[in-house]
Amino acid sequence: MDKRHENIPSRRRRRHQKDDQSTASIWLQRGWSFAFRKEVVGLLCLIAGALFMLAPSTLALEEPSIAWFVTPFFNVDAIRTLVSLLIIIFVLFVGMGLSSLLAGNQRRIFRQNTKTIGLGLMITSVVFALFAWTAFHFFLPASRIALAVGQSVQSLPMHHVLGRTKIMLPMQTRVSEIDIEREKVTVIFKKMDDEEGTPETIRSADPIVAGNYRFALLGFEYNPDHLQAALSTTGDKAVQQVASVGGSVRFTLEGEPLKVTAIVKDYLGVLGPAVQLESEKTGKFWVFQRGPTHSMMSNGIKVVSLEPAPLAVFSVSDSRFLDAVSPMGVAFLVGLLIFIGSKEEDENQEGATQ
Amino acid sequence: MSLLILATIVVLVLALVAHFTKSSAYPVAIGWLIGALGFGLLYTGTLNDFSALIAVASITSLGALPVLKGDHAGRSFLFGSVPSLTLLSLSFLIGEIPSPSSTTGIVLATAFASAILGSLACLSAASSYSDSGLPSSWMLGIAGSVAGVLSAGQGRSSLPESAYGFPIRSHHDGLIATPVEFVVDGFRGLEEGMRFAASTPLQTLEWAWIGLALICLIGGLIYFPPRIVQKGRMVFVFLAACTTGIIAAYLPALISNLKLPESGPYRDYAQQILIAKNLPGQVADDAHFSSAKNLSLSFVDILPELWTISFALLILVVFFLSRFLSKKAGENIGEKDVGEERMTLMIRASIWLWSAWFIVQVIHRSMYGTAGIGSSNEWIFVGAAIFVTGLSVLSNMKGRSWMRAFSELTPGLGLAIIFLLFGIAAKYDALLGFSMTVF
Repeated sequence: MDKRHENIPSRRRRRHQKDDQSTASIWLQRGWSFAFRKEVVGLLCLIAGALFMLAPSTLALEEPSIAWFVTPFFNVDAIRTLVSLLIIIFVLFVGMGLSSLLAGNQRRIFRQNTKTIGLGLMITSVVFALFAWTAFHFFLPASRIALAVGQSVQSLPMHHVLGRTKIMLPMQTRVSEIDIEREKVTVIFKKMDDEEGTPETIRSADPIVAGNYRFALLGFEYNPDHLQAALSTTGDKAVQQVASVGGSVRFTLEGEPLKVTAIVKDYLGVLGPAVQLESEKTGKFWVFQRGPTHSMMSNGIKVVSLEPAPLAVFSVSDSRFLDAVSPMGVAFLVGLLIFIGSKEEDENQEGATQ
Repeated sequence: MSLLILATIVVLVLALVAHFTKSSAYPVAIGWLIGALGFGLLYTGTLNDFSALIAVASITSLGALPVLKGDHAGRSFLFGSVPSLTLLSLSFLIGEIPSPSSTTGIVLATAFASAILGSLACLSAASSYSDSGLPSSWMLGIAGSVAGVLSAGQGRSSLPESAYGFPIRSHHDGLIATPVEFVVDGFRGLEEGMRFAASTPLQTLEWAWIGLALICLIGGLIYFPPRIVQKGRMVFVFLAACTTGIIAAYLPALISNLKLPESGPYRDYAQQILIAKNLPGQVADDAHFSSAKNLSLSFVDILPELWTISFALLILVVFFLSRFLSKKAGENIGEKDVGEERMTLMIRASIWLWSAWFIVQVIHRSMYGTAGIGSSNEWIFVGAAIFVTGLSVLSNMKGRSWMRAFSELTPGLGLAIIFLLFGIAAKYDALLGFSMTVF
């Protein structure tokens, strides 16, 4: 270690042969030889690692719950501190690597250099992947949305570095079909000038990218606040249809579709479950579960029951940061191969690995 | 219990083979093969307890065997065969990682397991490189492992603040043992009822574990002061061996005498949840344990305990054996090379850990479409990887005596951290490094 660092001062000394060696350059040399030591780098790594491991416990103290282990952790200050530490560590690693390479050249051991290059490639890829990862969670972490059939979103609530904010999606996103058994959901992405929209099927563990956003189906959930209504006609040939708010029902083949605009558990506190329907011909009207059905008022439709509607749970994330991680993974593998490929004897050489 | 003894004998045989052939290649190879067999049996579901035990024993043997300097065959085997072993160890993970697209999921899970195990194997091997021959670093590893066991044991019951305990199962005629649960029967308003996992509290065993952890911690850290206390350290090794032995002997007594936990705390907890849901709390008065007969314990449920006991017993026994049997093993390693060997192995450990991290990203990406959700678990895993990297940088310090002493402790510290994190992850019913929220 020490021998390596002597090179730089000695070269400088030759350049400034006379006694004009300023105090600044002495301090520079001292600083160089102090900073690019593995003890400093190792210690900084320990501190950074400990901070990473301890940072989530700050969250646990605020909200003591057993679920903190798998819930998102978002702490701007912690991420800032850690990224600064990582930058310092990386700079020091690069300095150490350069010193090692310089020393290696002098000894004319080529294989030793390949080992350093392999290790350097791995360190670089890990650091850049970590930057991408922290940047991803720092600027725009994944957002979780739950949508029922017929529901559509244009913007998403997301954590941002400035606090909670709404991010506009490039396209209106509407869920048109939920198939729980086959774990797939059909989503229609609609641009402003596009009336029909393009349907896309999202399966679990098979995310799709729309615009710059990656949609992944996480699963399904039932929320008592999101209801779907089973509606039926009152005649002899009763037909039953199920729809939630935003969906539509049609009781005869040629009849016009009725859009469900509202579902209420207890209308005005006395009338019980009620559903508001709308069509161009009839306008808005309410149908009920209780009481006699007046065909004048409700067009011969009644509410059979209200039940929780299945919601498709998506995670939506900005795909750009994430795409940086894959090339870094490949670079890591290449570095690993170079590292393994260099011969075993090299390990005997002091400083080969650093 | 006889199985545990059998596993210990297997590992002892491996250690003796290593001693007499003066090569680590054969025992390491045998160890991997037995491990593969164990995991394979686990995967197919035959002889669950036995195969789990064998798998544990073989991994432990790999941890305990020093790979000698100059033994290139052994070293390359250690390095290269990690992935092949874990092709079969995915059985563990197959139940843990929800992987809807099966083929990819299996490959990824295998890769993850191999990376983690490889890192543990490298750290264990690095722990055996010590100037004075005293396994201080191992002592720290044992302490971390015990801390992990305690942490994992606290999460076994559904109660929010539960003591350390074993999960209990119940045998029915001709059926596989099912976990015993505290059941609140369904009623109008909560048709499906509620179920809480029950675990039997083991106060005495908990104290024994804590004692072992403390002994190992002190025995490991006593390295820091100047080397006046040479003999004192041996006392700690002896004490640790005795405590581990007592725990190992105490286990069969426990298993033959299992009891149900008191129902009071479970009833109170169920009542709290019912009231929080605006349901009548009195319903909890009729709640009961799903079974009180034919209680049993599954070895698969207490794998962390078995791992730790065999790990500790082996290391202490191998250490004593090496004191009496072989001075040659130590002589093979030149005094100057010890630090470099340790550093090489530790760098490999951190490389394995980072590979595991990349694999976690790939799994998250295919499951969630994102690089995870930034959960505490992911943060802790990244932290552990950075920490072990730092330790590997510091594992070959030269200069003052305390620096060299710290270098000797680094692999043990790495082991301790990883074991502890595994325990914490088990406490929250998660897999280290993953976020599983919805599935």
